[in-house]
Amino acid sequence: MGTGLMTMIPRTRSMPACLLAAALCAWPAVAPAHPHVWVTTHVDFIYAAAKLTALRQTWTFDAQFSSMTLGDQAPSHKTGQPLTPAEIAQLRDHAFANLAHYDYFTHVWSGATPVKLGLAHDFTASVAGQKLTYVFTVPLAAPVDPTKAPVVAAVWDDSYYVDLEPATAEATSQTGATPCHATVFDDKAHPIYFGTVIPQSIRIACP
Amino acid sequence: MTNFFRTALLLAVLLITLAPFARPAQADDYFGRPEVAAGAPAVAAPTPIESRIVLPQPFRAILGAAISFQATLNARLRANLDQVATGSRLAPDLAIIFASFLYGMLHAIGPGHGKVVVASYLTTRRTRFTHALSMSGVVAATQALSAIVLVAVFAVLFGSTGKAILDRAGTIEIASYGALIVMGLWMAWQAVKPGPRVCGCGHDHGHHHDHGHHDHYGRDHVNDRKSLMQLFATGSLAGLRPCSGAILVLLFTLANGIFFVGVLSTLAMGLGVALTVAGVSVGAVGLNRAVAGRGGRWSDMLGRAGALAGALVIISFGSAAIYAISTGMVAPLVG
Repeated sequence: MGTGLMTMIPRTRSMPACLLAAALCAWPAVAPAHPHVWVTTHVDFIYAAAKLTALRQTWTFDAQFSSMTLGDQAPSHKTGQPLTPAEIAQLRDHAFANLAHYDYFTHVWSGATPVKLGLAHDFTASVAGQKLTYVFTVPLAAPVDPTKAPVVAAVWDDSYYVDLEPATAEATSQTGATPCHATVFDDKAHPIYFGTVIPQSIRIACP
Repeated sequence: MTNFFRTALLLAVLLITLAPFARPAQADDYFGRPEVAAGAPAVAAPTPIESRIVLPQPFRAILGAAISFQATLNARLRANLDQVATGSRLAPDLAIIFASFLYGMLHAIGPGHGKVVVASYLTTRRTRFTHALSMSGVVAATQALSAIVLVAVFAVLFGSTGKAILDRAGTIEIASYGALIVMGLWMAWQAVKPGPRVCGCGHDHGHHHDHGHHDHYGRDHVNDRKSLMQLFATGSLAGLRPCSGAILVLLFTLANGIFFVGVLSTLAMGLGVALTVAGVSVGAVGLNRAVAGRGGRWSDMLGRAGALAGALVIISFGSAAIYAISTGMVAPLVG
């Protein structure tokens, strides 16, 4: 068949096609993420004079992240050996300190008000098996009384590059005198990653 | 015209080769967030776009389910990798490859992986199904190979740190968006310029080759080498960005002396990604065909409008990506 006749048949990409292209574009195209780092967390709530003053956090990383980060920052570390103070300082300065600009992925509310946080201190790191663990304390800018307004605390990464989850439903503890107790719950009020991921937050319940 | 495509391909190859040597446009920390220079005043970090937009249903449910299954798969994949790394088992190799394949398939359901570019390209111009499938293959293969080449060259040959490799991959990503914008501009020019349309738009160029392929759109000129080159160039630009998940797996296997397993796993992931992207491509071509031919005598104009719309989507995508990365709204390389 010659092409002469065929070229007279209309061929078109019509408006619906353009509309679909536009709709496809509405799919969150510019924000690729999905978790690439997995962290299990434990949060210890620290009280002084019955007020919440700080969150002592333990983050345990997946083996792949641990391997890369140790390979970069503690290349002479031997498997099975404890990290030296110099290696811990190296990790703190080059694979942790920048999180200060992102509040260490830590979110605290007193009632509906976000609570301001300070700079982390008492950082330490260790390796068990293939996994790297960080422990550090994030202070609240000012102590908060959880009996005045309910306190909710959580550790999550809005961009979901890092998946942070409590190690177990009981991965919380409290240090210092308080009548309150902490429980992990599915935080439906703060979905992340386009509303698709319900993070686990911790509620401080007081009698 | 052919010269243009030669130049485009050459540019793509140059980009892949040179971009890693450039200073990273923007360094991210280990957690995918922009690094703030020491001593710089603390500025409020912009809220990531991911928590400012809530997807409508059913997309939210679909993406949510894919993410949770993906997390399970990834946990299994990484546990299997651990076992191979510690030498406690030899068998997990197959399990790793299968988990990688499924992971790639699911992973590509999420944002990224060149689907937007592929879909806007294929929806707005006439192509064959087989070409759409090849384009998906090109996207996925480029993505897998760029991760493998990056890790092989920089970790093995130059001993770069993992973070330096992720930074370089970020530079490649930004460069690929820039190249996509250029490609989009060229496509837009092709759509609006006077005279016969070219480039996979299915119109004649004033010099017909009869390839003997008469599908029911036999008039099409889709086998034209230019169209194919453009299709492949667009696909490879869209896939140029290596997946940081694959880079992490490759680095881990390299550190544990089982790099081969990492390469196999990355290729299997690529196959999975290809399947998902192929689903999108086939849908896009099917949609184009379903609505084609209804334009009557406005057909040429509508065709031009469609091709222009596709080009504009690709330009906007590239620009939005560069804007979002440069403002710190999203970190590069989080695909």
